[in-house]
Amino acid sequence: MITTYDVFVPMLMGGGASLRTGLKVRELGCQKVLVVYDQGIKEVGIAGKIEENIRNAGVETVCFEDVVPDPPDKMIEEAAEIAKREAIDGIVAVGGGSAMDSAKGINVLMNNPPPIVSYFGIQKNLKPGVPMIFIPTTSGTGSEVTNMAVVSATDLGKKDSVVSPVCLATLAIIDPELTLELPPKLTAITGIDALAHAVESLTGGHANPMSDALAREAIRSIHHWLPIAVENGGNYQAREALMMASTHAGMAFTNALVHLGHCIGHALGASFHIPHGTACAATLPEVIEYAAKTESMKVRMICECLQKVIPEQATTDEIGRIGRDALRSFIKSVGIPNLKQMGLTLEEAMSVAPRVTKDEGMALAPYRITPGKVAEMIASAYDA
Amino acid sequence: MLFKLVADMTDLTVKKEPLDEAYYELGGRSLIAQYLIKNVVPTCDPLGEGNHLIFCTTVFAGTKLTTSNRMSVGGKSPLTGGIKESNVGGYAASLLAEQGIRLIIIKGISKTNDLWTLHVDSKGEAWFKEANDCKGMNNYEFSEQIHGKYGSKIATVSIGCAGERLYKNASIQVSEFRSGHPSRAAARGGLGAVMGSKGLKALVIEKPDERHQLKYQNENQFNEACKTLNDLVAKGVQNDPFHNIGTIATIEATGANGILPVDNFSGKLFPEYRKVGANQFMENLSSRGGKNKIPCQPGCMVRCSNSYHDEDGKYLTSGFEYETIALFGPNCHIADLDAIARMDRLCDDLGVDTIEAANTIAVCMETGKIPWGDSKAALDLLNEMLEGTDFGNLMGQGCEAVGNHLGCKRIPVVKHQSIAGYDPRNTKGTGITYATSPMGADHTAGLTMGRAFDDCGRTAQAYASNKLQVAMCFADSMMCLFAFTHMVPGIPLLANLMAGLYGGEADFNRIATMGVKTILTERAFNQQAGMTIKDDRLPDFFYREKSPATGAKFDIDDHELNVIFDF
Amino acid sequence: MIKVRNEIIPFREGITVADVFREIGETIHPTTLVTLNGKVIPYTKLHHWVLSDGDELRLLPIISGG
Repeated sequence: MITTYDVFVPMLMGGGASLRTGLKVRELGCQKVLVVYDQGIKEVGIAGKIEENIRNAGVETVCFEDVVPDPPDKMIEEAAEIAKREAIDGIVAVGGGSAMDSAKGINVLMNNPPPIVSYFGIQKNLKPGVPMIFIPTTSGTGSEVTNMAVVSATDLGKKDSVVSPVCLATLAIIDPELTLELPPKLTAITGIDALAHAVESLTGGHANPMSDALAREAIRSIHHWLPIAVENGGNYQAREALMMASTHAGMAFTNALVHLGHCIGHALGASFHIPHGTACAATLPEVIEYAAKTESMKVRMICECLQKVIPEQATTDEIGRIGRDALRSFIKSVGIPNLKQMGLTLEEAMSVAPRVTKDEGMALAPYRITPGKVAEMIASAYDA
Repeated sequence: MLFKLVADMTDLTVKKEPLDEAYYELGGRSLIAQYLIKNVVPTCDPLGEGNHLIFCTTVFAGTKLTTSNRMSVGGKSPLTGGIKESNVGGYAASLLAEQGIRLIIIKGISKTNDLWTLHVDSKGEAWFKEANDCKGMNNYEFSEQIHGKYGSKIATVSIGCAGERLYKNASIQVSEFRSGHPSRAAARGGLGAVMGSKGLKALVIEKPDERHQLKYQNENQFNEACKTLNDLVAKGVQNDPFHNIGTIATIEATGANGILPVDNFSGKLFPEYRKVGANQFMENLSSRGGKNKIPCQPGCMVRCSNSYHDEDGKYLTSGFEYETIALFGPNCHIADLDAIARMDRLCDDLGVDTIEAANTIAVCMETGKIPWGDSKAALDLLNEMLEGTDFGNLMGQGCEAVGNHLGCKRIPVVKHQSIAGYDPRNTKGTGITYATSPMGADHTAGLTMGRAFDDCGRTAQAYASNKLQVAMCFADSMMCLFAFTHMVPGIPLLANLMAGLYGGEADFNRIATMGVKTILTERAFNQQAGMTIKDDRLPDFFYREKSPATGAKFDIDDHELNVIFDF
Repeated sequence: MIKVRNEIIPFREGITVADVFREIGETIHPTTLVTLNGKVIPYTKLHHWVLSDGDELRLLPIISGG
């Protein structure tokens, strides 16, 4: 099989790296940057520190502090207006996926006319924007190293992605110290999101040996360190490992892409407003079981990373079952609730199945699956 | 009210009856699937009396929707042993629509050695006419004779000697609008042999004195949607290479990306591909009095057909298409466009599928029977088929038969039908279509070039093939694929057309289910005919050999093919 | 000036098809034929094909097969 690996972002990593933001912004030639974040990051003081750091380096800042989760198109368009009016020549985003995706959307609109929703899908020919520096504060969405911006289309009532080189950061600054204060629940949810990225990128139709290696490293790390970080958020070693794992998983999935687990996650999220990480984790074990039919080698790798031994002569069905059980027990061990615990009825949960198979992300699934089988998977995961 | 003609070759009767209710909202491929599953035993002998040969127009035939007057021919294929729908342009469907005839059923088998034509006259009467004087006559002579007798307001749907001799590669040729040349081919799957086995030489359809008026349930609704769709096509064709040049334009793309077959699907690049490409074609047309932008049916906006003249400026052939050029050309290591045009003419005249014939020649070259690139030797072999020599008759049995006879190790067929002008390793989705389509190795059933992430990669190929195969089922029930591709932004309006013409809700499910139902019905027919999962695979060598142009093998997991029609 | 796809690109000495494509935000790909004053430019020569003042380019994408 001949495969490709094309998406890559230069990175600066380590405890305290975010204190080099100002110097890096200046190095990129920026003189006036838009700093993008949400109220939460402002309240814990991280935003203020970064802004100060940039100003101290002699670079002017304009702040957009109204990022909300599931960034809506109208918010992005408003922010882009500000950016253009202020004639900024760089963007710094600090926060979770919402801040970074908002920044990406703003960058698209710097030199391409609104509305942002007209750029959903793979865009090969957008006019470039300005340099972007991303500083993740969760571990995480991996958005600091991906070329995708998830935007909520207010009028259409749906979310979709803009995929483009213009959505790719110029530099990612990965500073684990910024995650020391992340509460246990959020630590678990974002850690599981990263796990889903890694697991799906290994088993999808666009997987390649490079992204596979990154994904495996991510799974091993998350398996070992996530329970520790959830238990004791102040453990710096755990935070560092999880931050890198999230970035590894991001690098993996921006190249290999994700599939059924995320399609189900999106459908559940859209209908029932469940957090993204939790929604994707809900049926991830069943997704692995399904994938084992054609990707048994990859499921073996996943089990190995979860420290689960699989006998040499195991059939693909057996490999699938072992993988499913190993993944489920890990997900539960960090306190992620199942669909029943989240308050859904069985009917409600299964009702999203037809929507799942209509999702274009299914093009990446390792083999075709019917809505009926998806519903079965959801039923199997429901109170597992 | 629409009609069907039920023609029985056993007692030589033709009955004109009202069309079945159930068939009103079906046409082309979808109608053929539903008709055959109900009326033909899938295990019957395709050349025996149990097979039916049916001709039908589309769901929107007779309306103003551009290219809706396309014809489909159906039956059990003597080549694949499964269900076959072979569609074709030309003038016949338009005249059938004017006659108010949606469907013509030919059943039974002639008890004598006589040859017949089925004539539909200007009053709408249909009967069998004895045609023994046309025995051994090929399509051009036949068509000229009919047009000479009846003028230009007539269409012929005929077989040449190939069909009479029951060749498995025999086509059915339809006369082109205006020119009357028998150059539009219902080529694939040997339905010409089915026609010949029944003793039917041709359908001859006259333009009726009184044009049949369709009864619209909501004419305004229909016209509004129709105008939007036609406008989309009118706009789209302006930058369509098929309109501006012809389907030969495809050579420029496939020659560059390794998809063009070379030397019996060796997977190599052919450095001289441009000698059989767009510029050479356009130059030959303009310097010799030929033409392109010809509509093969009235009202077509795509106008992809052409009239190709020889070096002396004399008419040589028309409907000169990419498949013929790719497969008689680079796939045989031939770079002489004029020689290929002669082959095209011969095939249309004799009435054989150019794809099948060209693959047969390539297999002869592969085994050393004639040298690679020798267009004269290739034409000599085609002449053997024309004359009906022993080897010629073997050629008429198709590429696989000749390949087996000559000991060829690389026979490019699926379900015994040879593959089209796209190397499956370098457009894997198309390879998946070749393998899994109930039609056999048919590119029109779902050509995925340009629609997956990377044509020679794994990603999204099965996904694209599935989507296209379903879409083609309903496209081939309604209009010509080339117009359909421009209508894609307006696809939901097809439901408005249905509702406007036949009543009911403008519910897109009426269209979508047509696609899924058709393909599942076709698969059911094939399963009952004895086909198994083994028939849904490409020949071994595509899995083993890397294409030197790209390094790609056809390495798609079997399981992806097994579940491609799970709904 | 160079005419392409309803746009006018200012001519400059040595401007190539690749330059024009970059201007208008198009990617060079085998399935989009490019004609110059009516003739198809060979795909293998597209990138470096030097244009003259007054040239008209047309982009003809192949969307189905036949």
